[in-house]
Order: sequence, then C-alpha cells, then structure tokens
Amino acid sequence: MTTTSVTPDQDAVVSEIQISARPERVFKALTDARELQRWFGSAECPLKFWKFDARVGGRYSYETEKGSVVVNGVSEFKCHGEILEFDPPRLLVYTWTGNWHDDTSKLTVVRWELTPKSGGTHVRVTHSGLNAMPVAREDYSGGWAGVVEMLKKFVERERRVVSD
Amino acid sequence: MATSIVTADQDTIVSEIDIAAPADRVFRGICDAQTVRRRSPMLDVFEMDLLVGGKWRLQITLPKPYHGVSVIIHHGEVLEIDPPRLLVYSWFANFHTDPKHSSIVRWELTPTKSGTHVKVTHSGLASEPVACKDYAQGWPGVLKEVKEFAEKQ
Repeated sequence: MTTTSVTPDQDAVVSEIQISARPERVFKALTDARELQRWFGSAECPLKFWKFDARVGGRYSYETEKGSVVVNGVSEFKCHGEILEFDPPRLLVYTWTGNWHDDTSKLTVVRWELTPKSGGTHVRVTHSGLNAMPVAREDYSGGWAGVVEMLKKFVERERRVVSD
Repeated sequence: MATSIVTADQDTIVSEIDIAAPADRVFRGICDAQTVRRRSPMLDVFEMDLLVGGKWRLQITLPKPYHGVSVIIHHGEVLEIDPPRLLVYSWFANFHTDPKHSSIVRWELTPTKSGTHVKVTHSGLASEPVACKDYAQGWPGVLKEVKEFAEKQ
C-alpha cells in the first residue's frame, strides 16, 4: 500500500503508492480542477474550490471550509502555487504555499513522478523545503499518505464504474 | 537584442535573447558563482548553492539610495535545476513593498543553430508594481551582460 518517509535531513516528505490505472489517467486527476474538486478533500477538510491552470507558469489554488483539523491554529486551509514543470503523464512540479505553514513566506515544492509499472502506475510525491517547518512537516508526513490513497480510490473506483 | 514584455495582468516579465555560445557556457554565466562575479564585477556578493533547496544571495551597493535602500539584497532558494536547460529559483528583495513576498525567476535555455536561446521569466510581481516596472527594464540589461560575457570567452 502506501509508504511514507521523511528524508534524513528533515527537509522532504516522500509518499508512494501503486495505482491500477494508466499514468495518463492519474495525471488528469492531478491536473484537472473539476477532478481535483471531486477527490482532493475530505470530511475533516471540506473543499471550497480548486483552480488549476495546467501549464508551466500557470497558477493553482484551493481552499477549504472550516473543518475539524487544526494546524498552526488554522482550520480554513488556503494553498496556492505556480507550476514549475508540466510533462504529462510523467512529471508535475509546483510550488506550494499554505496559510497554515510555520513560515508562510517560504516556498515549498511538490513533485509528482508517475512511472508505468505492472500494468498500472507507480506514484511518488515528494514535498520538499520543510526543514524549517516542524509543525507542517509533521502534519504532511501523515497528510500525503491520505492524499495518495484518496487519489488511488478516486481513479480506481471510476475505472470500475466505466468498465461496468 | 533582448526583448522584454510584461504580461497583461502585470504579474510576469518575459525577457529573451539569442546568444552565440553553447548552452553550458551560458548556464555558467547565469548561476556559477565564480563566473557570475567575473561577468558582473560590480556585484559585492553572488552566491548560489546549485541544488534543489540550495540558497542563493546577491548584494550590490548603490551610488545613491533606491526605494530607501543603499545596498540591494536579493535572495531565495533553488526550486528546480536541470543544467544546462532549466534553473528556477525564488526571488526576494529587501526593497520590495513586502520583503517577505516570494516571486519566481525561471531561466530556460534552448540550443539553436547558432548557439542558445535564453528566456527568463520573472513571475509573482502583481503585488509589487513598482519593482515590476523596474525589473522589466532591468532584465534585458542582465541578458545583454550574459550574452557579451559568453560570446567573448
């Protein structure tokens, strides 16, 4: 299932999962705002919106309603960034700034790497730039595992519906 | 010559130039600390740790104050590096209205028949309109310097 680790320098959280769908399908779920709206959220953090301008230099953002999760005193989460690398269906890199970070002026970087494997896709997400943000890092070390599991569930469930 | 445009939303500057030199030489002139200091001797400090997450810093003393500072300090972190094709770093400035606001500088180098096409994109400036205007005039000067230095080597 999911593996998640923090790098020895305490700078990055790495989470990996195997998904039974083609990389193209997974990449779409990561870069299409309407799809993100459907899976990238939870009962604890209900989504308000997702915006995603899928190109290098494009911006994305999402916000949640007030939920039951609190990080650094924040319970309405706002996140935004700029797309640094966009190479479908292999690579997606964007900056990531959250209003719940220990230091909101610091840009962190999220890198999605998709590799075809065993008829499906191996997904690896690396969130770096966290060494000076112990509270956020602690939260992400559990958070990304939840995100990749929601991604897997969304893509695989839809695949079953389509094949029925 | 260098071209420079500001996007309609006043957020991003795109400046481009063609250089008659190979991409790896141009790349060094952009980010290798020793080479950059030779290229631009008026810089008091230029440091860049060339790996993702590495810090960089540039410092220059001005003959007269600019936006209230007599020493300009730019700094940030390397966000993406793929020599000699791509370099992306965050960019802060001590003279910005909000010195804690991060903008992003992206260098893209493409090999051409006669050398290298260089495109620099500076984004995230919508909240810094004064600096944006200055940078729009500043980047072509930087590109000209990079070109002249790379071509005379």
